[in-house]
Amino acid sequence: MSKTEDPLGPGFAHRLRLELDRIQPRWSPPRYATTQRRRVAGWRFAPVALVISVAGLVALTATVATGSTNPVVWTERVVTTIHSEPAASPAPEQHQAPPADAQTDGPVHASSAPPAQRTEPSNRPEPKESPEPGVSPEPSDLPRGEGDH
Amino acid sequence: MPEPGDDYRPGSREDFDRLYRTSYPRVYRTVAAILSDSEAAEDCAQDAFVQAFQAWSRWRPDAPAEAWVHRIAVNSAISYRRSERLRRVGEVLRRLGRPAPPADPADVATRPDLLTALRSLPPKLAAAIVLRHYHGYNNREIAAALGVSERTIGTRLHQAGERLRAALAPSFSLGAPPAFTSDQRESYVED
Repeated sequence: MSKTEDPLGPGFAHRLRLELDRIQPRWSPPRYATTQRRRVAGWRFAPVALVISVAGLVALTATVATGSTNPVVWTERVVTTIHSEPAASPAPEQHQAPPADAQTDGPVHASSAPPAQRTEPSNRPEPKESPEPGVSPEPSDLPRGEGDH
Repeated sequence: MPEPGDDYRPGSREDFDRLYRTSYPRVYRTVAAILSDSEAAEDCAQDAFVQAFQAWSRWRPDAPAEAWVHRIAVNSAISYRRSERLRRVGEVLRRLGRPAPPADPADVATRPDLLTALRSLPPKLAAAIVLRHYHGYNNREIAAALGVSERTIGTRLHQAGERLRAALAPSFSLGAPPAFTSDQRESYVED
């Protein structure tokens, strides 16, 4: 350290120390501690805030969809929609029960084709790897053997 | 002067509390040597510890923890000085044509000359002087703390010394040599 004091004089470091030691920081609580506590407190309520946000979003969506603020109406609408869904779109069920003798000579496009197209004759029947028995209410509608060559 | 390592464990809350207790006054004085506003100095010092605490788990004990906090604090002070300079430019523009308000005589009378001269330096030069002559770090430690080369620290110390000498010329009667010589500059660079 003796080298360092030479350029500014031998008393510079002493003088600097005297003047800086005279500065006394006033006591204040460490800010990092309060910042961390505030952050922890904020995260403690995060799940509640998330639930409230999701519930609000669902309520808003339901209100817009049904035009009513009554939750009973929302429930009825949901039940109605669920019950009317199978009748409105039977095609997916048809798709789950392909003919047993269908050939697998083409690529599978299971979810891209609309239901109406699947009932039409096609040279590329869509096979099902694991057909579930009993889920096909109308097996006779399918073009049996149309894909055979 | 703190020893390298300091026996601090990264991520330990108790150790960081200990670091705060031992280092806060020293870090505050470093910032106070750069900034003339005591409240701003306190803000910068506190902010430095907030940032250090957030990164405490990633701190590597291959360098003194206090030097690491000093680096954050000096950067914070530099940012403050920069924003303060911009604010003053705005004030000058608003005050164009009107006389500048006189300085507070009491403030001027009680402010030590050395600190005034130190605060008039660019923050990086002032920080180098304080870290070297007040905290006792060597060039290598200052370079590691501030993230620059040792040669840069040598240059900064040399420039700071010249400016301080010019600013303190009337009152600089502590046995200082009249001017720098090349050998003296080398003592900064090589040490």
